[in-house]
Amino acid sequence: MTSSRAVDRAPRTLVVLAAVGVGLLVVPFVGLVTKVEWGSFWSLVSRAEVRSALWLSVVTSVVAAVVAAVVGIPLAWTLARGRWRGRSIVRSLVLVPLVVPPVVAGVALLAAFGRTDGVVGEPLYDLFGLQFTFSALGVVLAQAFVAVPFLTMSAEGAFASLDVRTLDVAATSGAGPWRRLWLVVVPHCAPALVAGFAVAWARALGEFGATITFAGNIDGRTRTVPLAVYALLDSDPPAAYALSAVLVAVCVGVLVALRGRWIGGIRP
Amino acid sequence: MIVLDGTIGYDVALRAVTLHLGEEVLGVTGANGSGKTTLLRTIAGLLPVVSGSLTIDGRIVDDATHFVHPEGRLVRYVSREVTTRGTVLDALGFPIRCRGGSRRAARQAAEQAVEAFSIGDLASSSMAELSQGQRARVGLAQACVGESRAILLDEPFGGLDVDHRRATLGILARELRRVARSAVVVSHAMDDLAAVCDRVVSLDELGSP
Repeated sequence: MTSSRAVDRAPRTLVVLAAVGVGLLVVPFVGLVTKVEWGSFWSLVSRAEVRSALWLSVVTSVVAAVVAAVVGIPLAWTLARGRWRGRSIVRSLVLVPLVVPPVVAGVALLAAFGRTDGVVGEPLYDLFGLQFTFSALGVVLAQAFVAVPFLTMSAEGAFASLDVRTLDVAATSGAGPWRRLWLVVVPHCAPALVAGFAVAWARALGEFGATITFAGNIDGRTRTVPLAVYALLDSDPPAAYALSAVLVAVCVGVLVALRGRWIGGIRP
Repeated sequence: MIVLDGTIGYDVALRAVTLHLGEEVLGVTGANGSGKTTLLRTIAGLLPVVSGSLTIDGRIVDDATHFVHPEGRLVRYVSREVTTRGTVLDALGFPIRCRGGSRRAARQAAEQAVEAFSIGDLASSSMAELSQGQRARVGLAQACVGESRAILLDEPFGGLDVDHRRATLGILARELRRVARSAVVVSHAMDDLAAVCDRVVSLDELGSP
């Protein structure tokens, strides 16, 4: 976008630095595209092990995003509109998955949900036979863990910007809590919730560190696309490049579909 | 009869109030920050009484042990700003939707309100593109959509422009009496209150801080 206002002209140094920034973001993907063997692309990504990774990724990331939404949106509501002690602590807690190294998140999940010695995992296995490690359940848990902040931040911003007066008008006009939710909250917040869901899903889809640490890298069971890329980079680099290109295409596709709307929604 | 007898407010801004609201349009004046909005919000159920009680037609809706939520009172609180998204017709149909009415019922009520308030020129405009004066007129029309036990208007005249003031006040005076048995209008504008209300009191006549 060009500005016609003379005073908006940026100093030349800033323009150069900005260009370097763009390069930093774009060059890796240009490199990736040049490495992909487009002629054999389809045969590479349609192999059985790749297809099982793609399928596992689609299922686990969607389930993880739904789990993140089911707990993350109510959490966002209480953070945005509640007045309770410890709110700021919980808000910081929500950001932890963003800053903690994913491998550390995996170690923590292992300590909590491990089958044999996990604080929560052992009783869950003994009582219900639920096993998180080396299972798709563990993949979902790891993905949901890293995805929650994206949904909660996006949703909290939307909930906080709700005009209380509209809720007042709705309540005194006869709308109970559910109808207020449906008539006022949902229309106002839907774009931010959809955007938050999409970004959370993309984050779940790309989850690597926590998954490989906690759920393991078992072909057909816990090997999602990022884990498959990692495994293939050693054994079959062309397949790794092709699969990487698929992930990039999907993520860019999500961003294009949102048309930058998420940038406004995710600002806390 | 709506009877409020008790203390209203929150924190340290408390005020004792005794109000008997019959089938009438009551105007209330008072200094800024004296508690006019608090009075309306308490009657509507957006704020509980601190002590004492509020009864509507003999039924206790708010005291130490009872509290009927706003959606159960049919008492509408309307502040000047109308913040509904969409078109003017959407905004006018909103109260009907809030009561569980269908889109069609909301549309019909909205069209009646458009006619009653002579705002046909605005009907299909989006709320966002209205001027302050136009928003004020739409807000008054919205307040009179659907029947209510009482309508509480909080500073409704502020945005009205000179051209439409007289006519709009006349319409409001008529419509308030048609759709609600009681109404309270809070404002600084004595002339406007006199044009709409049956009687006007200052908040200090109802009780002391």
